[in-house]
Amino acid sequence: MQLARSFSTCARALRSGYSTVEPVHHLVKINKASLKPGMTQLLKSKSDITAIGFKPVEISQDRVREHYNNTVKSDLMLHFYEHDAKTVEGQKFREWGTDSPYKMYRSMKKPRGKGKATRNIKPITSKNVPELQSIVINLYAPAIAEHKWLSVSARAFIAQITNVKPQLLRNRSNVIGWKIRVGRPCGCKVELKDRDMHQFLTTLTELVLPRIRTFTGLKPTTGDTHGNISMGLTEEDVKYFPEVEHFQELFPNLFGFHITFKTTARTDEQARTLISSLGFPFQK
Amino acid sequence: MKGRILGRISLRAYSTDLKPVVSSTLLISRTPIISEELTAFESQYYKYNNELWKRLMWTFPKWYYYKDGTISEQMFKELNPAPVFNNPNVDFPNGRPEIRQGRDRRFKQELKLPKTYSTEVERADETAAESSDNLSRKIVPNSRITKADETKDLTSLERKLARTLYLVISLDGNKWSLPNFEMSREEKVPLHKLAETGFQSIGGETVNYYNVSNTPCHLHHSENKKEYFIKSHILAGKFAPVDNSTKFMWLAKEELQEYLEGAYYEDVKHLFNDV
Amino acid sequence: MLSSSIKSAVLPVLRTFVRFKSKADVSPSTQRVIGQMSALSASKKQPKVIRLSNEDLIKHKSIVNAWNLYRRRKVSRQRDQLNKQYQSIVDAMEDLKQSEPELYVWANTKQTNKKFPLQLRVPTDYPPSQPWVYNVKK
Repeated sequence: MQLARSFSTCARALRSGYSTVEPVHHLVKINKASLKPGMTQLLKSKSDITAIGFKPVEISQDRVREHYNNTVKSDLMLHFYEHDAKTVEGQKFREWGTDSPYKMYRSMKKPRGKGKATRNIKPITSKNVPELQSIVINLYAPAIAEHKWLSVSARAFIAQITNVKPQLLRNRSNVIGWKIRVGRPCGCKVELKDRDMHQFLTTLTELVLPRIRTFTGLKPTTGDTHGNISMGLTEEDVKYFPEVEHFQELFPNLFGFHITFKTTARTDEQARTLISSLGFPFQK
Repeated sequence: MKGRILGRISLRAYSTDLKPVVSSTLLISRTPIISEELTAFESQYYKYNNELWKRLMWTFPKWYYYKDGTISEQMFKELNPAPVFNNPNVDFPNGRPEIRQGRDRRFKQELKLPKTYSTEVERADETAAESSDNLSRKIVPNSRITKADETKDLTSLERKLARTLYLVISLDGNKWSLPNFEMSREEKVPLHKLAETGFQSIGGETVNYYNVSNTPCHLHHSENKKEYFIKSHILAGKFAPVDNSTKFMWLAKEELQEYLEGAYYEDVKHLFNDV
Repeated sequence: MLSSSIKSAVLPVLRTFVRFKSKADVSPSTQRVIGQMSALSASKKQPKVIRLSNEDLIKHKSIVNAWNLYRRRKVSRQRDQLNKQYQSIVDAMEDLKQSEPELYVWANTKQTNKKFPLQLRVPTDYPPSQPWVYNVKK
């Protein structure tokens, strides 16, 4: 056995032979550590009962889903119907042309406008009625930069109102004036799906928003131009969540946060109509 | 832009005219107020999954919500006695208990929370009704079956709360149909306006409704007549017919099959909600 | 017998004592944050992994298969109905376009900024005390 690596020609001569098998270069990058037999449990789907991470999803009746399927979906289809509508092409990367040999292998020209490729907007049919995909809660509190332990309170608070354990967020840049350092905790985020999402949604529309006196509705212009709607709640507003309302001594530090509704709608107009059908008021 | 209504449901035949009469039919529905009735299989499956979910839940951090030495902690302890202690001197034929944070982690954790209401209120029902503004009262859900269901009142909007109901009317008491309004040949109005004004003229003045779209959702050809369907939802109020001879009913899908004409129902049945 | 009863009586006290050993050292707010941190953490809170016998595994799989079949049928039934509804909108509008161009223009105008009313509520599990609102303010 050769213990030390050597660069002399003797090393090759000492070997009994060399492999004639061509080395395989995988085109797909494979994390070989995850192929260990001990890892097989982790490779299983979470819907498989033999997996360690098994989590049953359909644990109860889902009234928001029922409402969407029974009433809203067909109404939205009729509402968005436009006869002889054509697909609106989005901005795409462009060819440079073929008039010069230099343009042949040149990387594609940036899209018009903001220089970002945008998706095509297809007319709404029965196949692509907008739907609520998930709700993302993003909590950023400047106070956490000063008192690091507040990040624990923030996560406990979000876990309490959403029933899902949030992910810690850390700063990604240095801003000296705001006492922000890279890698320091600054907040938390959580993405809610399915029943958790619908539970949070009904709590918000039925118990929290009606009790906020200053709330007049979502802004009629809200949206990120790709069909995602956002709203914010302040520290004063979040105290109406019934999960923290009766445990004020356990959650003395409350934080405002942003809520983003991710939808499959391609335009904000469609997304706003969808959100309004789930019980959210809009400002006139 | 006020459309004149020639007749509510006109029996006049337009056989002499070449062009068929344009009319709009109002498909007005009351959406479900309570959640769907589950089938036996659905409720069993949800129960099964719910039990699995509870079995796989993390242990409830009792010590966080019920501080040691408080009265609420004492009440919680009384309701939730500690599991069987893993006594090394005792043999457990069904496996040893694995106690972590006061829970046997082999099983689901069953929690009973202290009641927020006093038991005296429970006994006296009369006082409970009076103290409806009392926040600590026992919450009793209303019945999913209403009075209208028991009396089989087909005209009530409070019947079949879990279903979508559709308005059907009858002028003679025999032939039932969805409310239909004919367009005047001289003055054209949009189809949804025609349906709206028509509905108000027969007794929809006291109804608050939501018109889904200007676009018709169906076209039914009958003899020398075209029926465009306009979809809307009743939100509040009551349909009160102006003419006393007009009968009306709020019906679910399978009941509509009984009252509507066979061929007509077959043509429009996909518009009605199954739930 | 006696020893076991003493143990069960003593042990919770002992455990409580261990958890709050350093109570005197930390302020109540620090104590609260420690509580929040341990309430969030998975440590000692995770249940035992379910290990089903072969028979139970087969039972579970048949339940899940039956559910998937049931759900697939339900979803495809709903999808077919929605497809039919869409087709009838297309047919109605096509007919309107051919026969009544004026009505077609009205029917095809886009309604911008139209929202669903708040009274169209998500159904609840139990009805409200007054299931229907009869008085309408106009």
